[in-house]
Amino acid sequence: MKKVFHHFSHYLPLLGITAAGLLGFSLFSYDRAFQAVIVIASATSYVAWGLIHHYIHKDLHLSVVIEYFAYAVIGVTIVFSMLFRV
Amino acid sequence: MFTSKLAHYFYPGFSNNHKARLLHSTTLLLLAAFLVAFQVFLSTIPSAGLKVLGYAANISPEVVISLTNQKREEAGLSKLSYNAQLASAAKSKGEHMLANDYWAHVAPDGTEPWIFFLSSGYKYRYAGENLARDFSDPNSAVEAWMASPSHKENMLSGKYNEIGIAVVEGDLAGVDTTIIVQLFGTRLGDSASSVPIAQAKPVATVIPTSIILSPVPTNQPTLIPTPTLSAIAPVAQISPMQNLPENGAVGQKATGYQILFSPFDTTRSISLVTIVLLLIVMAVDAYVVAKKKIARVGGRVFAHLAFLGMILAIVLLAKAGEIL
Repeated sequence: MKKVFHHFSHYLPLLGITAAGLLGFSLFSYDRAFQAVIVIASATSYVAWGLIHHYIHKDLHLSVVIEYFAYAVIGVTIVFSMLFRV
Repeated sequence: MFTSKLAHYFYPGFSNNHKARLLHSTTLLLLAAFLVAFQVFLSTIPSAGLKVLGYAANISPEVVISLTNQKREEAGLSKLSYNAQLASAAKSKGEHMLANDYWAHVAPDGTEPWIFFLSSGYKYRYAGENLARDFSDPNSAVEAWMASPSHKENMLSGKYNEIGIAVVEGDLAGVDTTIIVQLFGTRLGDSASSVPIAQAKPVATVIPTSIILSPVPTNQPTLIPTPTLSAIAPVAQISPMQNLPENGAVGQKATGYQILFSPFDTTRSISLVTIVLLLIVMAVDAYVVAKKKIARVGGRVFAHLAFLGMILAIVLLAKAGEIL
């Protein structure tokens, strides 16, 4: 139970980041530039969360940093291809 | 051989350092590069002269007017009456945009939207314009306008009492599309305006995403709407840029079979396939690693699942169509 609570308290900010990103994208559907900024901010927050989480758990390595960065890049690329398509 | 190759990319094992190759950082970055390259490819199709990209639509001006008035009724406002001159002005504006290949309120040569009002003989006290493109149905366009504060202000403004809509189809930047031009107006000297002259804004306001014009209050009646006449190009000088032939050739598709690929749907399909594939492979990878108790240095699977889940939801929420 303690372990579940410990993990939950770590993942709650991440869930907040993703929920805020989704809500912001939906609310500002009429402003593509702002939607792009929201996605970049969400991706940056996700990477920051990863860095902090792994630092706390003492398993922060360069490969881990690159992994979070790669997921952020592909996420942003997918959304940008939708927003700024032909 | 083929099975082992497939397993290398989609299943954790000895050959891929116990992590599906698809989930390695280099593969992810390559995937992102591929998606960018695909968009570049899509953008080169029109310049190569291939007319295969486009957005199919089924939009009628009457339905747009009906939906607009429905929104006004819901807001407790009076309905807007259809005005043929405004409709003609909207059609001229739409055709001008297609003929001169621009997507903006003000043309590249400086032609302002209210020139079209005047050229169709509509002398306005108040005027406004909303634009939309790439929508497949009228309801989506109206909802998009209503979601934007400035466009909603135009649609629900008590200053206007007439409306004109034009739906023009044609080629914009190499992509076959449908443009909706929504013009609002109140005639000069119209006493039906809900805003008394004395309370009209003294300064014309120009809003980036929509344009509302108001007269400068004076004690003497004016026959010429503001801005002053010197600032309005005479009708004969409307756009030295290419105008459309009067037979309305714009928007007429080439006869014969024409394949239209929607750039939005194509991009969306590829995005969905990419994300779903990543999510499935990640879930399988995490299950196998947990079951075999493989010690591995890497990011948290739940975090990646949450982030990609957000991206998936965004892709599903995204809609074609753009307003201005």
